[in-house]
Amino acid sequence: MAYIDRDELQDFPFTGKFYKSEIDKTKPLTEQVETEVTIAEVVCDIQEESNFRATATAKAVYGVYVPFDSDTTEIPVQRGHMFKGYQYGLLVSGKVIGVFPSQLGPFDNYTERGSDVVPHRCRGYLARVEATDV
Amino acid sequence: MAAIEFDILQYMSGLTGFTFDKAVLTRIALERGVDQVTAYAQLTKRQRDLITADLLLTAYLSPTVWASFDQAHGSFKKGVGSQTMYNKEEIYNYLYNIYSQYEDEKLEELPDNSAHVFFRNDI
Repeated sequence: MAYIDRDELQDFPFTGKFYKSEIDKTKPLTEQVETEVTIAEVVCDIQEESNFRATATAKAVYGVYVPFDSDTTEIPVQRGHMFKGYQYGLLVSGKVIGVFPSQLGPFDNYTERGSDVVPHRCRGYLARVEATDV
Repeated sequence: MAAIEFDILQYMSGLTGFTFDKAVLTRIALERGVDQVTAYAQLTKRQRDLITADLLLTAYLSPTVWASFDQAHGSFKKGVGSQTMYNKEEIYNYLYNIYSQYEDEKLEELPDNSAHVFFRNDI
């Protein structure tokens, strides 16, 4: 392409969902099954941040960048939640190992607090997702 | 070799040595009424020349040094520029000649490139 297309890249081209698995312990043991409870369905960008491969082990950490209106809501995602998203049909799934908000945007200026919910103003957040089935 | 597919914006981007924003190409295509053109044969020489002049006018009215533009997603990166214009006068003369040749209305909008001498009585 011989011209500059400033709209070529989409900020959030993918969709995904954060969820947690719950078991209704009020039911008899034989009826207790894991159910998926959706925390948030989001548009997002997904980028691989690091990966690790060794004999019989393959892991990767993905950055899931999510837009967020801090004026109206709080970040619903917590460490320990699960994430599942698709990049053009490629499944990315794993466990959230950290959530970091940003005042400037969801991309660079995150604060590594390691906390579960950070209620101060921000325009987006980064959820680090560790996937072991890469 | 497969036939070359014609795309008006792609074609326009090749008319000068500058790399323009897509928004600039789109604006000129709309203003010159060629945005629906799907084949080279549909363009007249007049349209081709005037589009070239419009592009050069945009370049002429731009800063001498154009900022570079970079995009990155993950480890994939690409960039354009920066671009520097060393001789605006030649560009002005070229586009002025095209507008003059076709007596285009843009001729009246052109900034006067000649030196001015103002007399106190004129102020």
